[in-house]
Amino acid sequence: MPGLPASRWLPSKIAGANNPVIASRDISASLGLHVVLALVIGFWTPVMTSLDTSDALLPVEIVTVDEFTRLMRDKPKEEAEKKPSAAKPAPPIARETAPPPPAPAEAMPLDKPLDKPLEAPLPEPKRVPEKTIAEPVEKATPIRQLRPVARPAPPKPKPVLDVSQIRALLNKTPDTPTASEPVAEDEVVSEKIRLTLNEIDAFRTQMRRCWNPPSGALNAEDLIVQVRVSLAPNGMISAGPKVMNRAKLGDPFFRAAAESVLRAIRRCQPFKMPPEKYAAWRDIELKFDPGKMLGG
Amino acid sequence: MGIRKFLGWVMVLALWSGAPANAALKIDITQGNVEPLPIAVLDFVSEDGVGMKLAQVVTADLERSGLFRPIDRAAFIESQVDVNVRPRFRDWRLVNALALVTGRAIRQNDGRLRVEFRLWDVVAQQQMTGLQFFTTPENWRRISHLVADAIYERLTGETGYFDTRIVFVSETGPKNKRVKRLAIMDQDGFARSELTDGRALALTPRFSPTAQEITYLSYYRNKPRVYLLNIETGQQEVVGDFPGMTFAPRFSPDGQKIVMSLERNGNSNIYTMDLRTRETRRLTSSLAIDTAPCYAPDGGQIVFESDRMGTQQLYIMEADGKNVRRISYGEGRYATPVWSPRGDLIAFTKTYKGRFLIGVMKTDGSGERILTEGFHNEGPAWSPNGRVLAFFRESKGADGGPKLWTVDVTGYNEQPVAVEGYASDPAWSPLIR
Repeated sequence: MPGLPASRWLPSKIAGANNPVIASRDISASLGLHVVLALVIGFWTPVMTSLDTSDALLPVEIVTVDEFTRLMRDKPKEEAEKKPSAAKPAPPIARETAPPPPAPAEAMPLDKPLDKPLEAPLPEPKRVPEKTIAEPVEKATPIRQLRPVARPAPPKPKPVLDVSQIRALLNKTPDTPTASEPVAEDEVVSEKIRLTLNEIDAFRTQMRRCWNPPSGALNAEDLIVQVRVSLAPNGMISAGPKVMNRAKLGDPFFRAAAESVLRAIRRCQPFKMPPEKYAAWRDIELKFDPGKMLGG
Repeated sequence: MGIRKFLGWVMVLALWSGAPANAALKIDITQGNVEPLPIAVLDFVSEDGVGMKLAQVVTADLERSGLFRPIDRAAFIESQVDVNVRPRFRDWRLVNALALVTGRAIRQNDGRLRVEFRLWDVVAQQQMTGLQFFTTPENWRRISHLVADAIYERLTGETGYFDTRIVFVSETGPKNKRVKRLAIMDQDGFARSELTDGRALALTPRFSPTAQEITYLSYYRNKPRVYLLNIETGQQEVVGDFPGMTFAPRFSPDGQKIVMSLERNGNSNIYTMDLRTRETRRLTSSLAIDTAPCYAPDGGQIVFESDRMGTQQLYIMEADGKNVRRISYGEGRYATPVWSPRGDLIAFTKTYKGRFLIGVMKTDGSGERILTEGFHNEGPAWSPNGRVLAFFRESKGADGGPKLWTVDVTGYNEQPVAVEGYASDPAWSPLIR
C-alpha cells in the first residue's frame, strides 16, 4: 500500500513501509514503527549508510552495467576541463569524450556523414596547447629498427625453477578447487528440492571458467560482488544478472569487478543444470569473492 | 495501544525485511580464471598508416602489463571497423574477445592529428568508454599511451601508467671502466635520450613529483654529492653545502624537500633539505649507517635502512625523525626500501644466501613476498600506480652487465625493458598528465 510518505525518500529496499501495517490508524503504532525503522536503518543494515553518498549520483534502482556506463560517460570531460587550471606545463594533448555511437539497431549506414556525431557536441577545445613539453623526442630513431626490441618475441628467460612464481601460481589455482570453499551453508532449500553438493560444484566449475576477475585492487575484500540472476529451464538467463551490492559502483575498482562478474554470467550461459530440479535453481544469488585469488 | 500489539508490528516488520522475496539458491564463487583479459585491438582507421602504428603501441602496452592478452590479428574477422559503427559483437565473441578497441586517426586541416577510439564490452554489447585526443602528428606515441591508459583504467579500475617515462643510468664501456650517464625514455623503451655527458659518474636518479626534475648522485671534486637536474633546461646544481659525502637522495612527495644520507667519519645519518629555504635538518643520529630514506606517499613517515642492530634492516620513523621502529625481521639483509605510491607496500632488495631478491612487505613488516630472485637484482622503483616495479638485473661474467626489467606486484609477470646496452638504477616518473 503506497500510503506512507516516507517511502518516497527511503531507498526502496528499506521501504518496508509498503507493508499493510501502515494502514493502522493507531498513531502510537506508527510512532513505534518509525522507531523500528530508524533502528533498522541505523543498526541492522549499516551497509545502507553508504548509499547516502552514492544516491546523489545513482538512481535508487539496481544499476546494471549499461546504466552506469552511461553515468560515467561524461566524467572524462570534467577531467579535461580541470586540466588547464593545473599549474603543470600544458600537455600537448587535448582529451575529450566521444559521444555514444549511433543507435544499435541501425548499424549506421556508411553514406551518412560519420563525422557529425563526434564533432557536433564537441567544440574545439579552447586551450589548444602548443607542444610545450620539451620531451626528448626520438626524431632520429627509426621505428622499424626499434620495434622488434620493444616486443621481444622469444619467451622470457626464466630460471628453470622459480619458487616465487610457483608460489604465486599456487595462490591462484589451488589443486583442490572446492575444498576450501564454504559448501554446507550455500544451499537454500527451495520447495524441498535441493541440489547436491556435486551439482553445486559443477555449477561452480562452469562459473570459474567464465570468470576473469580483474586483479590488483588495494583491498580485494572490498570487491565482493553479489549478483542475482534468474534462469530459464534451458539454462539461459531469463532475468538479470543484477548487482545487488551496488552501493560501491562509483568506485572504479568495484565497477571493474562487477563488470567482470556480469560478463562471466552472460558468457557462461547456458548453464548445465539438472532439469528435474529447475525449481531449485531458477533464481540464484551469487557471491563472487576474488579475495582468495588476488593480491596474496 | 498495548505493548503486545506494538511487538506484533515489530515482528511483522522484522520478518518482512529479513526474508528475500523468494528463496534463491545461494552460491559463493571464490575461484575464477586468473588469466589476462582477451582483448582485440583493431588498427585505427587512417589514411597514412599512423592508425596501424597507434594500434600496435596500444597493443604492446596492454600486453606488457600482463593483465591483457591481445588477440592475434590473424584471427580477426574484420581488420578495421569504423569508429562510429557498432561492431558485430557476435564476430568478436567467436574469437573469444571480451573487449574490443576501435578507432581512427585523422589529420585535420589545422595540421593536427585527431585520434578517436572506443572501447567495447563484447559480452554486454555496449561501449565502455570513448575518447578523442588532439596533438601534433609527431606526438602520436603519447596518444597511443594515453589510449592504452584509458583502456587499462576502464577495465581494471586502476590508474594507468603507460604515459610515463623512466630515467636510468646508461652504462657503456668495459666493466672496470664504465661510463655512467643519466638517460631517459618512455616506459616502453622508446624515445630515449641521454641527460648527462658521462664525464662525471652519475648514479641513483630519482624523479621529482613534478616529473621535470631529477635528483641524483654525482661526483664533485671526487666526492659524491647530491645534485638536482632540470630535465627541460639541463640546469644542474649541488644540493646543500655539506662537509661530508651526501648520497641516496629522494624527493618528498610534495617535491619541496630532498631526503638523503650524509656520511661523516664512517657513519651516515639521514638529513632533509628544504629546496626553497635551503635549510637542512638532521633526522637520525646513530653511530650506524642509516641510509636509503624514502617517504611514504602522504609524507608523514620515512622508511630507511640501517645496520644499527648489527645487520642491514628496514626501519620506519616519523617524518621528523621520531619514533624509529624496525619492520624487517626475516632472514637475510634488507636494503633500498621504496614506499609504494599506493601506500600499501614497501619494496626492497634482500640479500640472502648470496642471492639478491626483490620483494615487497606491508608497511608493518608483515606479508613479505619475494617477487623475483637471482644472481643480482637491485634497485626497485615503483610505477606511479603501484602495480609494477622496475629494477635491474646484472648478469655474471666479464662481459656481464645490468639490464632493466619490470615485475608485476603479483610476481608472475616479469618482462625485460627494451633498452639497448646496459642500464641500471631505473626511476619511474609520475604520471605526465
